[in-house]
Amino acid sequence: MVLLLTSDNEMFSVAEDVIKRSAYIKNMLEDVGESDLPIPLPNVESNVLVKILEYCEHYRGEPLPASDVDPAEIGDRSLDIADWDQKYMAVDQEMLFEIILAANYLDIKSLLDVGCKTVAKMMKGKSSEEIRTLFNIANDFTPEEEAQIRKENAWAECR
Amino acid sequence: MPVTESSSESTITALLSSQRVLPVSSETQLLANSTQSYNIEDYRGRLPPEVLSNIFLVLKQEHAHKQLPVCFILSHVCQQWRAIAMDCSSLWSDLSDSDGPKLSELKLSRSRNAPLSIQYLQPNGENEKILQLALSQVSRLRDIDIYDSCRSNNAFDLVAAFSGFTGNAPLLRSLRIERETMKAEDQFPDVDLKDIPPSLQILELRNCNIPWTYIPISPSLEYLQLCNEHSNEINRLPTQVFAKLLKCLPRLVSLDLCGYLPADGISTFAHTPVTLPRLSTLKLKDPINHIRSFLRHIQVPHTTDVDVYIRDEIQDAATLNLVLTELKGMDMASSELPAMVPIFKLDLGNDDHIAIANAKFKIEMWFSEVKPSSEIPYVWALEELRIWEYGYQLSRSTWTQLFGHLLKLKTINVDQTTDLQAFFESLATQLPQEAAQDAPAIAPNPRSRLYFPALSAIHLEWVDFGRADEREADVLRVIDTLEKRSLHAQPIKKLRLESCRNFKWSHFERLKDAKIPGLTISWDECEELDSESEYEDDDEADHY
Repeated sequence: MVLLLTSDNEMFSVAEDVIKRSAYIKNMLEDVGESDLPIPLPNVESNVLVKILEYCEHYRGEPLPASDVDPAEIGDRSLDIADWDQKYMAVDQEMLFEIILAANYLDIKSLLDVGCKTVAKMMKGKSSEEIRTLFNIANDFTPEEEAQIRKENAWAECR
Repeated sequence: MPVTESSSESTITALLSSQRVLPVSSETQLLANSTQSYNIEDYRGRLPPEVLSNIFLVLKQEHAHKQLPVCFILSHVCQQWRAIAMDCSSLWSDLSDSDGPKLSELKLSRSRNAPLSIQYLQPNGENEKILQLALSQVSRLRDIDIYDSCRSNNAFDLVAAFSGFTGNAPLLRSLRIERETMKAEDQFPDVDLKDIPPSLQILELRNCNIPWTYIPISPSLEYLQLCNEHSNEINRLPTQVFAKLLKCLPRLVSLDLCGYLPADGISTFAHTPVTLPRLSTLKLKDPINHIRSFLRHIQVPHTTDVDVYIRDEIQDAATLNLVLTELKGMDMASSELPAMVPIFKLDLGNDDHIAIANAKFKIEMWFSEVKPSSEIPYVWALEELRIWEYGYQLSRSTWTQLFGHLLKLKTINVDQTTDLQAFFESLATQLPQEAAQDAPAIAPNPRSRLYFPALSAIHLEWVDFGRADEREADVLRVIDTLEKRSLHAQPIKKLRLESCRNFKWSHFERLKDAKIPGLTISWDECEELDSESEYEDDDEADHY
């Protein structure tokens, strides 16, 4: 079993083959060897880790994805998400982003991929303004940038 | 290595320091100059740039917005997103004629050194310059897809657009060029494509008239389409050379050849067929002897879809029989297949055009001066028959003689060229006494006493029900036939009427009111009536 200590000081005892889906933990275990000391996860809160472990448990025993995929090479990926993953990702926006952050921190590529697809799906077909509204993002462009954006929009209208 | 920022305060530092892979462009400096950081105070702003880039690239594949390409939409959200988008060169690397020249120019410069995908399906003169610029960046070309329709008012010169292109494109994965038939006689592009390194997976050249000697043959090629509407003998290799060439393409998934099959006819030299183990689609369009020769030289999996278009007229059904035998022989599992290749679908069209199909193959051809319906072999397994602008009027006896005994024929589609009376009468015709006694042997239902033992669906398309008195008779005949078949336990379960002329709502009601057991009637409610006075019927004529 592996001990994990979250940022809010909760300790989790997890089967090694479950948490090894995290390349970060897997590498750490290989580097450090067996230890009774907990692995601190200063960027992951306990409620998020519970969710992450649910994912790892579901895919327990499944082959790990290749680790040498260049992010720029994702061109052929579609937005298709497996049914279970879709249900798993049916959480509020804050939790969705926390899962993505934790997946990135723990280096769980397949989960990060599902998280990215989920966010991309939310944005699909939306304008810049609609995306701002969706994620509550402020328009912080300078007047110069606004002018450039207007120019680009005008060129788009002339197509 | 994941980003490990631990608090929102450190995010901007992490964001700037983590631009490791690519240099920060002048435009991304805007982010550093920003004094407004409320966008990155909460969980949304904590997403590391590489994760956001990843999301942007995923979205790039499927985002369809009528106003702007996705890279512009994302770069117009806020400063942080703009900086990340600008730094993600792959986000800008898809060029298309739908972007227009100005946006394409911006995308080309912002894509820096990222591999380029170019898709121009309706290029015009305005696109020529940008396309020329993009195609001259040979070292980063990844996918090229250009269709020169020649229809644009603003003339586009494909040759000028390709003037900077050489075959030496180290990243090229797919090259698709299609030209209109009228240009098919010159070779294009006039470069030796053999310089393309083995990264090429897709090569599709339509009407480019490129000889085999210019084609890069590499084991990585998966999709190969070489089609020339104008047949050019220099594009045809001797059979033996062609067979050797196919051996170098073990990964082929799709092969589409038109005007590129060997010209030396049906060779008789001893040979071992070339196996294409991954082939899922095979399309051939050429004269019959070229096709027959080719079929003898290859073996494909049982699951391959084969689409054969025979360009010259077939003189007799025996020749077709040979093609069918060769199709069977081409199958890697041919030894396990039945001796005959049954045909499931038959289309009889105008000018003696015929299309036959089974689960595996489809053949389109023309017969000359034979009644193909009586000559085509292996129709015993026919399930679907379609008669479309057919030159022969089939009488009732021809219907029963040609198709009435087919035990698996479930669906018949007919159009206005069919004599409706002869067709429906044939469906209601009783089998001769001796045949009826053998009914269990020839029909799935032992109570079958009528021809067309398995028929369950009729589709009438563009059928003209004629003038008022004729249409009354036709509708009554349809009802009579359907009732009769129902009584003989050979019911028609589906009757579909589509775009039928002079068929009215009252006729549809009449058919429904007949309450034929198990029958579903569908009608597109297209009430097209002839306007000539002799075809115009008064209301009375439709009252029964």
